[in-house]
Amino acid sequence: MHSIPPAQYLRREWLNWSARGLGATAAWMLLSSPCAKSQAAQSATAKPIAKRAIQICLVGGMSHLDSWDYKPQLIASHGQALQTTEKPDIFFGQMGLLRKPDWEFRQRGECGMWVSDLFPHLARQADKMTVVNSMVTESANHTPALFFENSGFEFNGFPSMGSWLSYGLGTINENLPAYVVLPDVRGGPMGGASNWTAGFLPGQYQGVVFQSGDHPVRDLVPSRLIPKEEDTSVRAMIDLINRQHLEQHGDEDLLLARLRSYELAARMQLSVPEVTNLDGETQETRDLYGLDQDGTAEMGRRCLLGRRLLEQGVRFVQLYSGGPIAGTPRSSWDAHENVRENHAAEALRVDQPVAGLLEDLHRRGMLEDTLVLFTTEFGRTPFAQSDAGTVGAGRDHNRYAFSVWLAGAGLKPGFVFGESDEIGWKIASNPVSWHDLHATVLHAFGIDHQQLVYYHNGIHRRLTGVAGDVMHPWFA
Amino acid sequence: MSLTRRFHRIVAWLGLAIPVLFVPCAVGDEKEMHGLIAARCLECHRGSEPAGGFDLSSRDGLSRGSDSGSVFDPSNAKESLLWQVVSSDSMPPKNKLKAEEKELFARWLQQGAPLPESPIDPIALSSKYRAGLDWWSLQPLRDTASTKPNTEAWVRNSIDAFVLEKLIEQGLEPNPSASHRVWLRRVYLDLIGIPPSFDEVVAFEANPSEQAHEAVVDRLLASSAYGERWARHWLDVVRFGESDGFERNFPRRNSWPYRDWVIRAFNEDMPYDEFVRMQIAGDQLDSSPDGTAAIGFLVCGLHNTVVGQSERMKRIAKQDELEDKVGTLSQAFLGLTAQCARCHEHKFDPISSRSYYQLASSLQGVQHGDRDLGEARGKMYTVLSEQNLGPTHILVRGDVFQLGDSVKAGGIVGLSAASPDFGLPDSASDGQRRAALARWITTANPALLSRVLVNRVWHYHFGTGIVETPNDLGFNGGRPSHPELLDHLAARFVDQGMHLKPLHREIVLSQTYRSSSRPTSTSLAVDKNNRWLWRYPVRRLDGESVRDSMLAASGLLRHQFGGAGFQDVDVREINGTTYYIPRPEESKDCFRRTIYRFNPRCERNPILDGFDCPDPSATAPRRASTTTPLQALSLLNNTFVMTASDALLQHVSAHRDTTNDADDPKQADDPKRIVREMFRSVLLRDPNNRERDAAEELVRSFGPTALARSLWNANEFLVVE
Repeated sequence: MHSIPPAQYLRREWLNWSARGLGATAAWMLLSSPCAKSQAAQSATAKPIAKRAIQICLVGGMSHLDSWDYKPQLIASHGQALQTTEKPDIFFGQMGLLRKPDWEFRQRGECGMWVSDLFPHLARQADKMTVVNSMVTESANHTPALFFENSGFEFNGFPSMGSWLSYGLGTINENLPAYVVLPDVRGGPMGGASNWTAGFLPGQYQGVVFQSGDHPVRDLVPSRLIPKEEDTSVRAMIDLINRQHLEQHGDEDLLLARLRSYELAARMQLSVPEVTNLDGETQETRDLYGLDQDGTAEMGRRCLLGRRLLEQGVRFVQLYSGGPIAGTPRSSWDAHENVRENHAAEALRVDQPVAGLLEDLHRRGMLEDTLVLFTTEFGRTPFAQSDAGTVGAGRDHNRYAFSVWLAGAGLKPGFVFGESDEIGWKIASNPVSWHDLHATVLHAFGIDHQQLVYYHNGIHRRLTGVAGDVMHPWFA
Repeated sequence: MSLTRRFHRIVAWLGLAIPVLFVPCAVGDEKEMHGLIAARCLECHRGSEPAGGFDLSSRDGLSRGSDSGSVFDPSNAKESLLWQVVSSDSMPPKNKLKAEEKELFARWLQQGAPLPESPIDPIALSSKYRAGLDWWSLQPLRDTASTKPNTEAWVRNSIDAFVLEKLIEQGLEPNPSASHRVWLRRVYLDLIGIPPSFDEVVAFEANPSEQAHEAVVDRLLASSAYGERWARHWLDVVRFGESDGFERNFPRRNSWPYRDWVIRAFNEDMPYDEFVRMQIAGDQLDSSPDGTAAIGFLVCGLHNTVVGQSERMKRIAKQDELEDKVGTLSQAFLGLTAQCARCHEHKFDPISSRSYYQLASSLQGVQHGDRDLGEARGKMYTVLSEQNLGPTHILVRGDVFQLGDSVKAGGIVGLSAASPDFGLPDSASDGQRRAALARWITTANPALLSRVLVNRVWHYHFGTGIVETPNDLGFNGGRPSHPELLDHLAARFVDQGMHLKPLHREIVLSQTYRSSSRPTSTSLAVDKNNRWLWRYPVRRLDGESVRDSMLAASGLLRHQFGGAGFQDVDVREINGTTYYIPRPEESKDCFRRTIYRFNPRCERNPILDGFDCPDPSATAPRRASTTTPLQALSLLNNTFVMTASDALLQHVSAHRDTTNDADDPKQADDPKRIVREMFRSVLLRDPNNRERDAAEELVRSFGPTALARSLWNANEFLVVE
């Protein structure tokens, strides 16, 4: 009987679930093409620190002015008109009067970073954060902006950052996917699976959605009740037919890889229930994530699951905060009508769980090589979204300035980078684009963003398009 | 030469104390240097208003110098401004020159910086940096078939002569022929996407004459299943999706007539140039609903319906959509990536920004929407022409607020001797523009048009094209493995009126296509990737063929040609976003061929998703073929697999026994009979002894569906040999 070689002896393009990244189908596509470009992207200069990452995506546009970007001048100017002749690129186009933040700001931790009372739990983690108050983006429209945040392009169909990371690095634990997505229980973000698509990269780099409930992964268990013995016998039958076929045909990587994919599938069937079962977590941990309180339980579970997935070798976990974009009341951060009500409700869901995640990663020593990202597609306007001459309760989209934060993986803790102008409308210094942020994330993993390429329809595509500067000052 | 030595030479030249001998300017240096200048300098330094007042495209420009004065003094080359900015990496501003490029630069300056009198046209000549108008794929076809020896016994038709020549060159031995059953299954799955039945295999094996081979091919090409199979390939290329994408992602309930039109066009073997013209201007060429359906091509991509109130966002959304349309058009038909010239001249292919905007102008009036075709025919999602079109402007660096020269509807400059100017006024209507574009694209460069198509067809037959990048026959694409074969097939394709069916016929009846796919260690050692076609490649079925084959083998398949698609997702609109939620179970009306699946841009059922069906957001000229544990899980556990397993049992139970063997079990529920019939239905053969014993044991212990579930997972079922 034929013995099946372990994955590393197969040609990489066939078993596309290899523990080693940078290659697989891509290497084959590139190397067999006469215009092959080097895709050995592990850069010589970067010191790879990050081994895994977890990203919390706030869908709808979190107000930087009410969270991390403290603007005393905006408070002082409350009720005044923004002096400008420009027709700004905002979504609805209404420009009310300037509006002060709805929450008090205080200096936090040893670093003295300003964080508002909107996020009381996260504020206590300020000393772990690298805050960027000078983000800019291209679109003030949700879906293009969210696609841009995820893939560096404003359209459907480009590979997401998680897919690029999986493509570049592979999975650590082949019994689990390299890239796992945990959507908000209220629904997926606009654009749905386009946000975690592998685009033109091979399909195995696509984000795999873990749903809450008994069956987190599609088709993990038979769709009807089937005795375990039957399942085992079916697998034995498949194995018998396939091995005989292999003997007749002769050694063939595709056939060998398919045989091995059944072994991996069986192991995944054991690994997934293990990793998604939170029963073994201590009460202290449950409390840390707010698992037993109504408001925080949903995000708490996902944050805790995120940590467990990272622990088990998943490369990239993406959590969404916010479901469908429109509707009343809104189920995302899209506070057109009323920032106070909307952001208070949304922040309540995520504040303690994300703070718990940071603390937990820190206690376990994982924060050293785990990159945490807390991002949103754009910020909100310093003026209210209301009739001219009034101070309405909501804010429109602001693509000219917004805040995100990162933590762990060799970044400078308690550090604030970049500045918006006095009222937080546009950038005053050190603008950072998504391309820059993406380049920096890849850099944290030791990948040169200019080298991680994939040929598609005439172009060697990159996550960073034709731009992107690594933000070296962010690193300790 | 080592980098260090190169470095020393350059350092020396700068006047430092390392002695060095200058190598005389090599023959070819000058041409290479002009290529380097064209690729790295002329984007800014040419034309009437060059950057810094410096035009490096001609002898005259060089001697005029820049705003800062003289740039080059032949008597003192190394002190010249030109060398200073280049050697210090201040020019080019981005992506500085490599050491060997600087060395070339230095040699060229030493030679007195020779430049032509008339300005270098940066896109005219191919160089090691880019393709010019002399690029291979743009040249006329050369059919060299008559020079190929075809006396070898192995050679069945002209394809084989070209392939054999390369095999001999590489020292490779072609594999022997595959068995008749293997060829039969191969050609079924390839031409119609569904395997033969066991009875068909038996009948063919009983009489595998050459006439029988030809008859099979003719029958398959004549069946409507052929169009259903090959239209699927085309729908990949045109990224046919049935929802808008972006935020709302609203469903398009009336875009299926385009899909049906494509299927019919394949089945009717419509001449390819007509096929192309119809998709661009069908409504102008054919007043029947067919013409309106055909132009569904222009509106089957993404369309953002939420663009916001700002002028900038509206303009960007419009330009993004145009880029997607121009890019898909030029890649699908011409194998050129014209979309790369939206913000600057194409960096690798001879496509100017002007050419891009001429194409964009030709499609400027295309809007998305439903046309009402009257009570009988209902609505059709197609092109709604924008009225009152004006001139189109080149957008400088792609910036929607920086209007450059105005251009009219036109084609790609330089692609042929024929004028790329359509001769239309600025005010020409959408229909006039598209009609002219349709004419131009099918006549400008027939060699390119037919090379692209023939290569695509080859790609689907063999898994890899003669050029590996079917959408890109430009500089960044692959180079042909068998350039003469490509030209021969393209020339014949043109001669025979651009019909696809004779091309398929010639390919699948060739000896090359009949080769066994068995691995041969000596050949593998030489050509692991099978670039020289010493064997037929082993390929996994694509997602649609997996599902269609399961439907066919289990007897579930409903033959219903055309019409509105079946829906395997629940469509829910929640607060302005449309969710397409895969249904846990497919209903009976879903058991049609997968091409008829309502195909919104979103999640799909796990089988199609797992088996690499492409996201219809971007043109997909070749599919990935991956192997993952998620595929295994789906094919073991998905509801569809259970449904197909139940159906297979019913199917084999109902199957009339055709054998006369007295020992043969006649009882429908006899495990022996079930095992035999299930093997025949799925694997097209009887089980061997070991398989039979194990399978009967499985059926006895757990019932027949356990065996069915196993068989769907057999490599023999999932790969084409």
